[in-house]
Amino acid sequence: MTEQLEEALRRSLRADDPGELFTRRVMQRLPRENHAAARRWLAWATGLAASLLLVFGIRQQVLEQREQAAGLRAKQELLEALRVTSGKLDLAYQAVDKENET
Amino acid sequence: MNTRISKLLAIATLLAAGPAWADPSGKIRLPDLAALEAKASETVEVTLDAALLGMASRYLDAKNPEEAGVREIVSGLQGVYVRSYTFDEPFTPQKADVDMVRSQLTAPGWSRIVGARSRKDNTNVEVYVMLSGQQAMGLAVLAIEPKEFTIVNIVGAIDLERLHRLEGQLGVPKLGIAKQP
Repeated sequence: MTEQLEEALRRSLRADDPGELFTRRVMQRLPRENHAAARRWLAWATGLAASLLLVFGIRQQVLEQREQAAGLRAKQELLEALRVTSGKLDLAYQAVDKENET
Repeated sequence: MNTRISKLLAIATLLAAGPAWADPSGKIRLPDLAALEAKASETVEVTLDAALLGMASRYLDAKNPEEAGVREIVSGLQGVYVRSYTFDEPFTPQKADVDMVRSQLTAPGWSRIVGARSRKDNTNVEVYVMLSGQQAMGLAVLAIEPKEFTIVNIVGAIDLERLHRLEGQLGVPKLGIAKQP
């Protein structure tokens, strides 16, 4: 009885060849899933790189705008300083000229 | 005896502190004029060190003859400092502020090239230059007018020939500076 049961179990649990068609389908599906994962990863990486580039670009633009604003402000201050200086030098030389005339 | 030594030490310390004010670079210490700013109707306060002058000169248009001239002058400068206050009513600056500036300009190296005082106009203008050999390394102007008080300090190699070329432009007057031989 036991031997018969064991024999039946052995028969039902033995490795069966699934067939050429099944194997082919499994093998075709495997790379497709890998491709999809790779594509998803690539999309994330591209998105991340694009975002980083955008952030870097905006940051650079803001820094350049700040530097330009500071430079233009410094230029205006320099021209203002030279105007004040020239005005006072003019005053000094006018006074000297007046003294020389008298 | 100890009192004499401590008095001598105190005098020596004071004498040593005096020349320390005179910066050989041509830079003078400007007094704190914050109180004047509140009273003034117009204020010009410019503080440009070498870095800011470099930044400013990058934005001076080389194609514009006036700005190109300024660029040439600025190339040798280390700093430009201006404090100018205009008042609606007649004003007399604090003696301590004026003395602080003048005391630095009596230090070795500084020469007063113009000292014009008009009692009629109640105006006093003094122009000082710090010379190192034949090269002007600093310029200071102290102008006291009835309604205006101005201190100017330009630090660095001031090329008189270049300044001469800038005369008449940007409101810079004809100074009659002769070319260096």
